[in-house]
Amino acid sequence: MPVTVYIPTPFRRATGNRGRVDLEAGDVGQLLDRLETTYTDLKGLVRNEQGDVHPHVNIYVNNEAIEDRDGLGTRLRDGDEVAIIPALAGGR
Amino acid sequence: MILTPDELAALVEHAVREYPRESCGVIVARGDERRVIRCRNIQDDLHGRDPVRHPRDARTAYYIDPLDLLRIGRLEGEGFSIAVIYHSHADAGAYFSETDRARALVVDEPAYPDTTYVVTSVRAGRPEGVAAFRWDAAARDFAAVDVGLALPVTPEGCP
Repeated sequence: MPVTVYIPTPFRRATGNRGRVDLEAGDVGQLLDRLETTYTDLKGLVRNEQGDVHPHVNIYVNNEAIEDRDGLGTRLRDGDEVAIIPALAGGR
Repeated sequence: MILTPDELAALVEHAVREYPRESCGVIVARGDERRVIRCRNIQDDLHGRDPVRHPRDARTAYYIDPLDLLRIGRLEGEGFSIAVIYHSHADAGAYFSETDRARALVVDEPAYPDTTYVVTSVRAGRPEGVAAFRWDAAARDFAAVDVGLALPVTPEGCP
């Protein structure tokens, strides 16, 4: 059983308007690699050229932020839910 | 319709309660069903942890708690969409600032092209105004749209 990835509205133009994508991946880094291979327009939206997740993007595995686990090395199990959450912010 | 009168009252109440901090939240909709979701502004936490990267505090900026966005994402999975993203300006007007505009774009495209942004102004703890903005694809910019409602009158008799 694959991992389910939640694609937020701001990134759906890169996924053909898909809000959820199922993928097989062993960890979060591999999952992002596969996402970016399948949906090439995602490149640069989630990670920078060095492969680091942008500071304004948060990634959760189930309900836990990956920075509280092993970052991009966070292991994934079948049935996990991964959510990519870009910041929603502003100010005067 | 951008807001119902009850939704406007909820947004104004939230803005006044958070003053002098900025309030923030969304309204999600599924058909005729609508829900106001008040979110936590974690800008003070970010500023406290790293004032260089986050020079503003919650008096002049908002940053919705990603956990709230996670919850909202789950609602999207249940068929809701984000109809309104709202926040307040404390001791400033109800306008769409350069910061608001910059943060509402992802690589020069609107992050939420079908969503209305609502800004409430609160000065000295009292609501002063409300304004709404939507992406104008032809102009490639956000443009003001008519909220169509007056601010609710407070118990003291003035907005």
